[in-house]
Amino acid sequence: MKLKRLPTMKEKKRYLTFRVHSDSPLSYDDVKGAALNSIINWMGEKGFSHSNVKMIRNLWNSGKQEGWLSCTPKSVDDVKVSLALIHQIGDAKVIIRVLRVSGTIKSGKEKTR
Amino acid sequence: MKLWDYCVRDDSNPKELAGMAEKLGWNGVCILGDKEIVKGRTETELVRGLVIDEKSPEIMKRRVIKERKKFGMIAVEGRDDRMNRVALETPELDILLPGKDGRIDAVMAKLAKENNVRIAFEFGVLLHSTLEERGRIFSQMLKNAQSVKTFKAPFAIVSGALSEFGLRSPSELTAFGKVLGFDESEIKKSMSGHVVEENLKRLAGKWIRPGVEVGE
Repeated sequence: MKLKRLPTMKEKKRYLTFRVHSDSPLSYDDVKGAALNSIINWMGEKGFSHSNVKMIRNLWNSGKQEGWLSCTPKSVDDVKVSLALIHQIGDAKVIIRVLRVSGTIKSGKEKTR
Repeated sequence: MKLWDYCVRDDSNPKELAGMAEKLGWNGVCILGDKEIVKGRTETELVRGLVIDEKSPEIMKRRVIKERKKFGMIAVEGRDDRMNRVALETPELDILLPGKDGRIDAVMAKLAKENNVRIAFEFGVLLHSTLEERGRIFSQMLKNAQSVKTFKAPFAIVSGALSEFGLRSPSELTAFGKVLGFDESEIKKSMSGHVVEENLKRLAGKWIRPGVEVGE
């Protein structure tokens, strides 16, 4: 059974598009693990649960090394700082750069073009 | 508005660093080091700066005054409270890097405003710290930011990168500044690069005093 929420009780979201700069290409699972770990380290478990952070697997582009992540509007800056605090994934040195923040996936994709 | 990173501590490979800085969206980077800068084919401007790390505040002050006319940016590594205090009393200085445990109190913030010395908040210090240290360092940074905000002292959000992979984009450093409690407009203004531009004019001999320059 699918539980429904009143439309007014729905949480607003922000979608962050990010690009991973590194010497060697990385897999979605590696990036997801590092990102979520860093967010938990920076915001704590309580902050993490309030920020409702989710990585979107379907939108991971392994060629461009670009991914999407959703969170609450209030936690955008903290999530950005957490991603910036990642400097190594496995043996590869990385920079994770947030390209844009959008309210919907559609508008985020339009901004990319 | 141009965006500048005032403090990059890696001078080993300026070409790669400039390439990465361009990818991340910087218009200019100030490299603190001794080597001459050879720029590659990038649009990002590179300016050579100096970071002074002395044990004695008196020697530091003398060096700042001596080196002022040679570099586009002069920074001082704050070792302790006394060093920070003397650095903020030196109007020839551009930027103070308070370091991991650097404390900025009300008196220091007032001095910074009076002498127009920027107090740096280095992202690199957090980046290269252990999890245990990170909380303590960030807590001190929050206290410093509060003093800076209260007395409207000049500040700079910098990457303090030790290599090209230590660089962070303007958007990330802005988020870091916002987490510290600064307004976005203040942060952008602090990254605008007018300090370096003014210093370069002085080095070129065109600058006489604020608002007065030698024309072509």
